[in-house]
Amino acid sequence: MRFIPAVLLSLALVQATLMSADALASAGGSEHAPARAAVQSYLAELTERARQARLAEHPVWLALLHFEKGRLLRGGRSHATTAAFFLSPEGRRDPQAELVATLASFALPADTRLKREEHPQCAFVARRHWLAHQLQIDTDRLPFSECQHYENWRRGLRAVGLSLIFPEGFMNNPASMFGHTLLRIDESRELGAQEMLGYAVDFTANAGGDSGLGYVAKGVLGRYPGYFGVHPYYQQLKRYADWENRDIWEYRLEITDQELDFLLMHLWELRGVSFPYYFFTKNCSYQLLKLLDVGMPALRLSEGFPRLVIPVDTVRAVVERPAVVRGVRYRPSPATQFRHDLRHLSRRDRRRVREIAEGRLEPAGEELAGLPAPKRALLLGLAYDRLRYAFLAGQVDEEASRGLSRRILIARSRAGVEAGGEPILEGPARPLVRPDEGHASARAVLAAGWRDGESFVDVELRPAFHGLMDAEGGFVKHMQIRFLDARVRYYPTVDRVRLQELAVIEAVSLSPRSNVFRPLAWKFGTGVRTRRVPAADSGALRDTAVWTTELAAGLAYDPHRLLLTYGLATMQLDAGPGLDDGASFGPGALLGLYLSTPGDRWKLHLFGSVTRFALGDPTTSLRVGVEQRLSLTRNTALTLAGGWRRIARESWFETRLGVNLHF
Amino acid sequence: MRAILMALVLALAPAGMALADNDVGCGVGTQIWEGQKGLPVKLAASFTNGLTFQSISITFGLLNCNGKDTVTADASEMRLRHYASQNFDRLAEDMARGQGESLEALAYLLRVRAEDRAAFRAFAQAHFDELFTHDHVTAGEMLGSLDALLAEDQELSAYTRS
Repeated sequence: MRFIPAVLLSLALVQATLMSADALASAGGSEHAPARAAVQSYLAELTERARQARLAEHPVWLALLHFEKGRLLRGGRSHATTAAFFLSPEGRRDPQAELVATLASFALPADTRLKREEHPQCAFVARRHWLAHQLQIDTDRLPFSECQHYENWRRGLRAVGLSLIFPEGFMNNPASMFGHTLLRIDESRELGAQEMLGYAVDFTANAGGDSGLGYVAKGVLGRYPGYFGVHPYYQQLKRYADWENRDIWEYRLEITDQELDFLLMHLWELRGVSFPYYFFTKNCSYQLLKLLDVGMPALRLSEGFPRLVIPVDTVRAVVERPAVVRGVRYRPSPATQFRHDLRHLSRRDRRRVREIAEGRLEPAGEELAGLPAPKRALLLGLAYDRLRYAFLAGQVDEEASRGLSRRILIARSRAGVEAGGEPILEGPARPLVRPDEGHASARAVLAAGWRDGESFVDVELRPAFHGLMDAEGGFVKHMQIRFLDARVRYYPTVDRVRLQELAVIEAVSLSPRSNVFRPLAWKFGTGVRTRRVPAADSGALRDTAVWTTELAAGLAYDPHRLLLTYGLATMQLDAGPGLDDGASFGPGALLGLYLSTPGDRWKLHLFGSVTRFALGDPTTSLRVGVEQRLSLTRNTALTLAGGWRRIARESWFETRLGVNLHF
Repeated sequence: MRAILMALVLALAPAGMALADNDVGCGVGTQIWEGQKGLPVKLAASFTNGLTFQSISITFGLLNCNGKDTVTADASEMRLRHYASQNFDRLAEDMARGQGESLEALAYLLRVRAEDRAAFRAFAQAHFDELFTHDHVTAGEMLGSLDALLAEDQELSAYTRS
């Protein structure tokens, strides 16, 4: 059913394309332009026809204007904030006025140049294309201009196909934690090296020199103008894959030539047009959906994203539409490949790689010459990569690394082998679960348990995004982002309800260290939490609400791919009316390990922590615990947790059995 | 509320956010030949979830700033040079290996036919030390040497550009 409009639109586009081709031919060859008066009367006729057909309310017209319907007291308006994007002064709020002004501007003399240094017909090629079809514009009566710049640009893109690109999340930059999306214009429908030569379309905001608080506040509140941009895809690959070590997923889309053509016409209209960038809502991923909506309106991709727009959810929205994705390619980052290859080497060979990269083992020297050529080739290749990472990390100066890297590569070229043949080592396997196949972004938990002999029921709701104990398929490993995670606890025996926790945000990155990559493991969280404190008179524990903020840094290691160990030094600040002096602050430590089965069906977390609140309300808090998760389906799991806690001189046990449901 | 708290989160986040990269946007002709020398191309950048810290120009053109410049006959030459300079260290690695996506893309830009691809890969590997004759070879020099070497090759001489 939903394909019918697409078919109609496609037909419309074909027809309109033919029309505009005719128009260009006649405009080029006509000796005399029609008299102004005749044009004006035809214009009036077209405007009237548009009004009768209520074209200004048509979804395609609204999409071309990036018009958002109003809510409650606020009227609708376009999201675009650049004045030159509108031909009518009322255009931002009034689609009908904009339509009238657009038609009028099309009738301006051929040498007219507006703010964008082009005739309006060429600045707004998609509007022209669409209106020409909708109104059956007769180009003998309203001549069409030839749009040389657009045609050049369009030819240069060599567009044949379109892909949706998803670089995975990047924990070392908070703004990138949720991942990112871009579109890629492909010049071939075939797979191959030409993919990296395509053009990437993205929506970005420039934060200039801002950093810290101002940057974040502005990013969240939409104070940075965002723009669409087009860059060679290999530049984006360098940025995401080479520099940020992010694996990339490429979803090739099923798009007709007409749909792609119309999408690119509209992209041309968006040059230099700004939209406020909102980190959580109207962000890169949202704007790309809006662009796709113009090309493929029948899919209604941006529908259903009223609030939080998480990049991977937009990928899901695309994948879930039937017959839209033709194929998916996994592109492991060079760092992923490097780690994968190193894992297949003996300890001795790993040492050789290190020695070559550090300049202590001559690439063309005797020791390496004695090795079989494939082995030598492999070690030299890895040594080059290693040197590159050392250089990127600033551990080697440029001059030294240049000479050494050339010597390594010359030796590598002389080792021959592999040229066009089979690779020496198989590359990293594609993960079993794609990002769009991971668990859904929101989570609800229903749990029951005992604390200190008292039974309770927990209800938890987390709008986003992923926890360390959740099934990790499709997500970046060893990371956690809990956003607005609320847990309410009910004690049936005493009929009491408490807000056990409201984690406004908690981000954890436990990237493991190796000889080459040395990330810091870290954690940051802030929110409301119920804390037990000893009463001043009796010393018995009672619940009190505190605002808690925790910052931690440390190291993580993965001695085996199913095992991760970590140790963090923490600092915690609690504030609340139930505490002596209203606050307590102190250092602490957090140690633990994660263990999972192959395939990640079951996962175990053992941990211990100590916090010594030294300032304000002084207490020492000890905790030892275990958590387990057993996945039932992609979106459901059973959890069992238990632990022992001690605060001041009181200690107690707590156990909890729960059901997780992602949705 | 959410904004303020998020602000706190990010304000305390690890450093490395303020690194800047002078993106190649305008005037490719000049930038290709500057600052892109040597094998490991110098790089330091942080590109975030659509929020950049760079004062990049809003690039909409293909290899120019605004898409207004006419596409000239040497557009493919420009594309080749831009590609080679932007991917120089990966390309060098793939040429030494005689394999890899960067090398395949180079072959594609040189319009090497499918039946000549294997010969081209082997050629790049065999002539690696002649393509990278010193530590400061630029992408332009490498392409120049490649052209001269291809001209002398029996099988591949059709792929010279000059």
